[in-house]
Amino acid sequence: MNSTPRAPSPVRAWFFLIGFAMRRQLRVRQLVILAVGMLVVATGLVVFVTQTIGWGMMERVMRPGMPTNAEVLDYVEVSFPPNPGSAMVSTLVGGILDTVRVSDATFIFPQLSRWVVFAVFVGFLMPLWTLSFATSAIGAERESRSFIWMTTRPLPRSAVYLAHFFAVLPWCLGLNLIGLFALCAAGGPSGQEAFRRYWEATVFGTIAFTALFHFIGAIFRRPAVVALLYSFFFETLAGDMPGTLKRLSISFYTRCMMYDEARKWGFEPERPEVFQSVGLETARWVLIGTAVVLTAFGMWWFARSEYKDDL
Amino acid sequence: MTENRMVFRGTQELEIESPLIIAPPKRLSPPPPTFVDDRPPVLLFEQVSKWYGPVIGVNQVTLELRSGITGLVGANGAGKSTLLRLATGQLKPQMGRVSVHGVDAWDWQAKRHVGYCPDVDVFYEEMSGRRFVLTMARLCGYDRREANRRTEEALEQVGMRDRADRKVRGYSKGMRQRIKLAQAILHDPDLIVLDEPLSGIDPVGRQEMLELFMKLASQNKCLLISSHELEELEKLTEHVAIMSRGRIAAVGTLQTIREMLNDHPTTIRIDLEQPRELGRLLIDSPDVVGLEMPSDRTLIVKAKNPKQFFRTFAQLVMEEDFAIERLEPLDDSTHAILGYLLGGSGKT
Repeated sequence: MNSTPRAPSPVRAWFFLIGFAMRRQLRVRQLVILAVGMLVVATGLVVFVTQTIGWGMMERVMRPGMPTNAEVLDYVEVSFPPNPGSAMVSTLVGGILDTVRVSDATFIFPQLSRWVVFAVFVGFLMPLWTLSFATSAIGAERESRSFIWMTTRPLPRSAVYLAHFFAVLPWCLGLNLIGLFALCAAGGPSGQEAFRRYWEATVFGTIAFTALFHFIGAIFRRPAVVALLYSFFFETLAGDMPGTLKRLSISFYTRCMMYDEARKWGFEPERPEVFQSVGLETARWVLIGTAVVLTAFGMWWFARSEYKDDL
Repeated sequence: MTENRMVFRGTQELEIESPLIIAPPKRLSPPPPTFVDDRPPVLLFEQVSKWYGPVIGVNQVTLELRSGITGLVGANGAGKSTLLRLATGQLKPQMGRVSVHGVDAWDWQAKRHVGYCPDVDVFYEEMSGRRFVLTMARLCGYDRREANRRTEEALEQVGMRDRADRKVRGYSKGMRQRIKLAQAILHDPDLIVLDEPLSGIDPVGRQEMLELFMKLASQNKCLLISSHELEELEKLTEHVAIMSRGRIAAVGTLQTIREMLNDHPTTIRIDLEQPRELGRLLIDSPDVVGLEMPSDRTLIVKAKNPKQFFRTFAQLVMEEDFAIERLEPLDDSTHAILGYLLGGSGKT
């Protein structure tokens, strides 16, 4: 061990740790399978809706057994054929039918956004996918007790925490963007527009969620359970409640960014006075600020924490 | 074996708590170094205490190690692992300070000087032994070439070079211990902390490991080795620290401890139906220095030279057919030391 010494570098060790921890995430097979499984199921459902009743009003029926709205329109169109003798009536009927069809086309984007992107993706899949990777960055190491190999290396503990954050972030971003893309693509042309409008908010939301769940992974022994409880009790419930409590939730700011992009398509919160949206820049800064503050606090916390899991 | 020096500081306080502590220990050979070494010790515990909630892990431990091998023995729950984790910066003391080469053991820079072979049998199981050690080398900050070189050297030292390409999950306990040791020595640390390194290793493997420890000690390394088995440690070193209930009950050479133990009267409680009769017979023994009868069925005996005393006592009990209901050493430290020195597991 005494031949030509080469100075070890903590920076080199830190970069190696990022790569190593990133590869280790592949070992969390159960989570990857679960995440991909959920993506397949959700995409399948969107494809099914797109191919059957669609996201507009045309394929809907007023009551079971009745013709669809498209069939009603066709019936009306056939009942009032262009007639030079009653040009005024024909023009009126044609105008009404065109208006209905155009407004249905503009209805598809908000409908798809509301149900697929906001309810399923932002409200459920995005936090779930993010937590499944982010909580395991340190949590899985602790659970398998292999974390000791990290804490015995000559690396500052805060650097270990930060390296794990950077290692897990590409996984979370990749999964969420691929997931959003798959869901939107399954929704047809309006879905593709939705992806173009919402991917940026997804990136910002994912970074903030990753920072939060990574922190939870470092401080709790059962981080996945805590993160799940947080996601579905705080993000989902508080995020939809009137008042200012929802401003503590990450999904609120993600939605604000998305609403800002969707406004041009006539998609707004159902009750803007209740939702009390913030501007795009504010939402962006809050999400990035949340990620930075949580990561900095996590580094500070982690540098002072002892892990006595096997004692 | 190279220089091995343990110095106790603050012995006055410790002596009050635990009269069995000797400072500094007497040496058989070579003679104790009398020079004053200005360099900070490799490992220094200064009045260190550590609690887990209401349970005490280590209690006011003061210990100074330089080079050579030091054995750390004690029963389960005595505080050995806590002491080792404090030394390796896995835990922070609530009171006192632990330092390695003058740097706080919790500080990441101290870990450059520390190699730790933990007792937990955990690896990245999907890796080969070579890949695991290489990963640990890279995490120490070496570039690929240097990490490879150190990995091969460490594997060579622990005798695993030709078997290191198999997956760790297929290794025997002994091979896993060797891989753990390889990762502990690859960065050439001055302090090597080994928690139960011989457990699960076959006799031939043990011998090889003992030889390796001796070799490391001969390279001026400081080895702190914990074990349940004093017998194993005796093959390595004369210098041991005996832990009991979070305290260092005794420290020094085995011979010194034995001598000291002989001079130090130990207190034993004996419950039986005829305490008076037993007391009458025991009073003639030259090792018994005091007797007390707090109740009709209890005899408290103060005896020096415990090994001889217990021999006499056993003979008397057999000859006179006393029905002993309870036998309990009342001095905890003595209890622990007796356990180890008389060849038990720490439970007398």
